[in-house]
Amino acid sequence: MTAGRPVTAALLLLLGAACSQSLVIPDRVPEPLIESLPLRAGLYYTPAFSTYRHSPDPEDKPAWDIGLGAANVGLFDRLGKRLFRETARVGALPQPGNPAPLDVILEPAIDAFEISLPEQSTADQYAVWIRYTVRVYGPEGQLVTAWKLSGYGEAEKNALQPARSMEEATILAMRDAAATISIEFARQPGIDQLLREKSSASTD
Amino acid sequence: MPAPIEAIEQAASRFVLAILVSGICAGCVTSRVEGVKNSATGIEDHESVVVVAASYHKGNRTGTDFLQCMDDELDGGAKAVNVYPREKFLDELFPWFEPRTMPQEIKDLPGLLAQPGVREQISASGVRYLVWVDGSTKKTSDGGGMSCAAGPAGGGCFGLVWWEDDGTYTARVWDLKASSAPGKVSTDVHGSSMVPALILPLPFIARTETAACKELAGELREFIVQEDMS
Repeated sequence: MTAGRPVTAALLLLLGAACSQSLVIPDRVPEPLIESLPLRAGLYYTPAFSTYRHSPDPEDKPAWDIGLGAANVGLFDRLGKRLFRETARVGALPQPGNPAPLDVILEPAIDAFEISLPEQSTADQYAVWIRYTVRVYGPEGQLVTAWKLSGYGEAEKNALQPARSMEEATILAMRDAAATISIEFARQPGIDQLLREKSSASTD
Repeated sequence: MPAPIEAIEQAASRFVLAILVSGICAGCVTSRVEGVKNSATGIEDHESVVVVAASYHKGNRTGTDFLQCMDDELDGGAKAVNVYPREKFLDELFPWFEPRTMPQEIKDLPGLLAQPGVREQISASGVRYLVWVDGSTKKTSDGGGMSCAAGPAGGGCFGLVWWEDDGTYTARVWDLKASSAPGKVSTDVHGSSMVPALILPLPFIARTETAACKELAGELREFIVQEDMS
């Protein structure tokens, strides 16, 4: 009986490994090669964003536990550094009557993280969707825009290292979202007007 | 009439012979490769090539293993060309070559090169040719069956499984220096594989994807190195 316990424990460990996967996404999205906008920006990360985890879904086999908060903070830090003339992290949103010495404050949020496993589709692919909302506030905390966007990534199935495929698909989804923000931020309603005002103020 | 053991031995010999004969046809690959060249190419020693997968948003499923194989094949052999690391290229030019943002046609290239810093970054990298790879290898048919058993006296398998793969790939070449598309090369590869088993399984596996990579890379290297339009 006693000799059987280690074997049973090993089998349970093996079964556990087959039933759940845990990984932390590395901070690997590069700085964008873009022209900076003439704006001073603050970056406000809520604890929900900076510690975001995708909790295992009982319907997924295996169930995935994925930490992507830190990687997303790194993504927005680098994005902000190149997208704006100046950036600074802020600990809170500014309040009316107490304006921040900034043009805009960005508050990113992850609304949803969805995955599709090879077993759930006809393609031998891991697919990831990340849905973001980027709220942009003015210096007195007034909402300028709430931009909803999504990033999609897919990676081929690696039978021996499924975590590697999931990691690659997630990073590609983050890159996709970062690419959209890099290229389309200036065209968002409210932002385009702010940039026009900045431009006309500098020419006056 | 032969004794039962002799009959089994004869049957086994016939089976092994059948496997060997069919093995000649299985585990092999047939391929076709062709190229279309619209303008002269050529590459200097300080210039390089980067191989990138076409966008998966357009349904492309070229795997990273295939791209790595292309890199290795282009970078080796008698007429080796310099291959620029793909990840480095994509990171240095982020966000302009992401699946959603990458240029789809050669007419999109001037607009991309006009983006701040893009032309300078490409020039600094020394990449002259951008190769877009599109395609994949798929199993087209399979059949047969195999059963295995084990007992106190030993174990073994009996049966035959077989499958066929088709690989179709195209490599479109863009000359970033001339902002032109000098042409493309493509390959179609068919592989037949089988695993017969009489006690021990004997795999005759066709390496269809590897064959497609070698064919495509070989033709692509000629396409780039050969300056004239032949």
